Amino acid sequence: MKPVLNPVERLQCLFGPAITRVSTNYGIPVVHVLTNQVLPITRYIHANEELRGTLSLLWAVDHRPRDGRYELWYLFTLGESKDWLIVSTDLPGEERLFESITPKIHAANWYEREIRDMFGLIAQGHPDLRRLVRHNHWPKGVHPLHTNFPWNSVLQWRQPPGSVDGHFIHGEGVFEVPVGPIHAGIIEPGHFRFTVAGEPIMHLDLQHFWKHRGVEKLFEQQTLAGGVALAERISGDTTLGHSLAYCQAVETLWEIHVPRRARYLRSVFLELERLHNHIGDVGGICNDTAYALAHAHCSRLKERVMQLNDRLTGSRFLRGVNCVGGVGIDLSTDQFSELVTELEHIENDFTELEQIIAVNASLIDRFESTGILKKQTAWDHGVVGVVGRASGIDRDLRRDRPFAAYDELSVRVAGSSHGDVRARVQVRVSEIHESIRLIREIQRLLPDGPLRSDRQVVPDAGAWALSAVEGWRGEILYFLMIGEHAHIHRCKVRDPSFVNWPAIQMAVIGNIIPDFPLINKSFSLSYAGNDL
Amino acid sequence: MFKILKKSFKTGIVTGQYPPAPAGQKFSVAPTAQKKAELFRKSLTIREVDTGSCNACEMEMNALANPVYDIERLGIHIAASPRHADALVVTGPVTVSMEGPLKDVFKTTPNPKLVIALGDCAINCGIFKGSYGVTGPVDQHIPVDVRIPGCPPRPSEIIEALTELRKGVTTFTRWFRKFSGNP
Ligand code: SF4
Repeated sequence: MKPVLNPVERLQCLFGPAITRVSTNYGIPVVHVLTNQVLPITRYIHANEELRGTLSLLWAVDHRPRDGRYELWYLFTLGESKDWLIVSTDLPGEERLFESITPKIHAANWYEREIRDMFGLIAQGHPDLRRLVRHNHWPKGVHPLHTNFPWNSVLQWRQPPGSVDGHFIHGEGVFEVPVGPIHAGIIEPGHFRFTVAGEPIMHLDLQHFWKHRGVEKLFEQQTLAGGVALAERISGDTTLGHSLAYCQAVETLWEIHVPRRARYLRSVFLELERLHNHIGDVGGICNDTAYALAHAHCSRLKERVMQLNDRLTGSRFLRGVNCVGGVGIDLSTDQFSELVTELEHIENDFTELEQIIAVNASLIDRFESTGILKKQTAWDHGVVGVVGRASGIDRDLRRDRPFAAYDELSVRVAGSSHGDVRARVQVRVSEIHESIRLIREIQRLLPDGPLRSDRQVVPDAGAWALSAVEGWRGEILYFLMIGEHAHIHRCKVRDPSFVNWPAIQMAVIGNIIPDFPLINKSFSLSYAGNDL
Repeated sequence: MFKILKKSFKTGIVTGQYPPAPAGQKFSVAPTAQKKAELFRKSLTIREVDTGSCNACEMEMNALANPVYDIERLGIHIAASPRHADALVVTGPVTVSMEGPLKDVFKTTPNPKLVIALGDCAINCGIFKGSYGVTGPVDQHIPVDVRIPGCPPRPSEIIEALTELRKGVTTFTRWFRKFSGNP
């Protein structure tokens, strides 16, 4: 009988000489490999039938002032077990080229373009090296995440600004429809360039990063404890998801064991955030089919949840709820009963509405088979969250990598395999009911105890941690590395929008432009979280 | 059909069911703005421009249109194009890339127009102050008439500011002034 090897041993057997070091960091295996061997190794992890690793994050760290090198990190989530595996490699400081893995692992596409813009490291063999974050008016040779780039030197416009380099399709009867950056509704800015022939969309080119505020660089000016407020303001609708992911990363580094009561409360607030966003989105999607009745009811219910948030925590967006080590706000028994009663009303109200929506033929007609994202496409893009689950990617961190109190709760993960707008609405609706159920369950289980605990250790410079939270949109990932004087050396933030945006380009093909707002809303992605 | 009607009757009217804005006026109005706002006393059309916010300010602007706040009842509309707008509501610090579009929007909005900076970011860049990607608060690029602070300001506070701004003088007073010769 063949011995069962774990993924790291398997890689060691196959790629022995290419692996320079194997280590474990807070339970996550890290395989350090030679730079020229990254492609075969990552490709093996991705394509092997048993490993089936999805690229979850790819980022660079600049170590030049100290060690004269860059470091590239590849985080994989393995297929069945959902375990993490990191591949990392060094790049000498004077080197600017590294081998692109995009031709083999499509999910690396935007990450590698981002690394080029932010660090000036060029992915050789990348099929599409247009600028991503840096718009064309950004000056040449400016790479803000270099450690020696001053965080507060405001960028000047390059004169004359470069032209837009989109992907153009030429031919008789082919038209281009540019939309944005400023849109007709109250939406965030982004530029969409549709190519159409007749009605159907042939191609969509996204141009984002209008809202790039330099968040990752701003983190580097913060101490570990001070970064929470910034994390809350990365994407306002995911205030709690981001602050939780950030706090968890710091807690790992400081070896804080968050008290049980605080972990339960974090779950409550995370579900509340999921609730108000999902309810709002269901209404928004209906609104994009011009079904104003459902929109009005949903926005009324959403407002009820937000007013509830306000009453319980003093913030409609749950700002200031999380702090490193626990939570800053407690819920008394009375408050908790108020919460549960109110949610019961909201659920009944919503269920009645659901019955009205479910039988509306013109609505179903617009939803069904619109904006289909196939499972394979979703997998290739590494799509996460609601969008992934609606396309048959069965992943939910609350179940797969429990955080907060989810290890003691049983989360029923919703899913569908159709991948169209209707599937995404259905997943949202199931998650709304599930969130309310979870909060009810927490009411039964909520233990007494302290709300926060203190730092145990002071880690050395160079220590790092990864943390993940299933926000309402999907997986939020934080990589946090400490530098000198307990400052942050590098904080890589990944909002689920960053991986889901490229997938929308695939989902719209063959649909008509009037359906685009509907598809876009059914994805419901953040621009701020994507642009950083 | 009956279900829909039943639902509507059961729900009743929810407009106005929100806690009042916290006491103490926080917004500030430039001296020249009050005069400009007189024109829009009965109807004000707003165009919202996001120049780099965290999107919480947007969500509160969106909330203004929901049945609970329903700003249409106050004669405030949200326009789809700056060409139809009387007032621009700007949220977020102005990022390097949004500086151009913001100036374009300002130019396309017909005169007279009001500019309302909504949220701490729009007023002083908030937590993003000083970053390489942020060129400054809104008033560095276009003249700002009204400032509504908060992170984000609650919808009730926004309504309060907009109502206060448009209180102005009554038509009768204006006639009276005209005929009595007192400006
Ligand atoms: S003021 Fe606050 S809520 Fe508004 S955009 Fe800035 S950080 Fe977000």
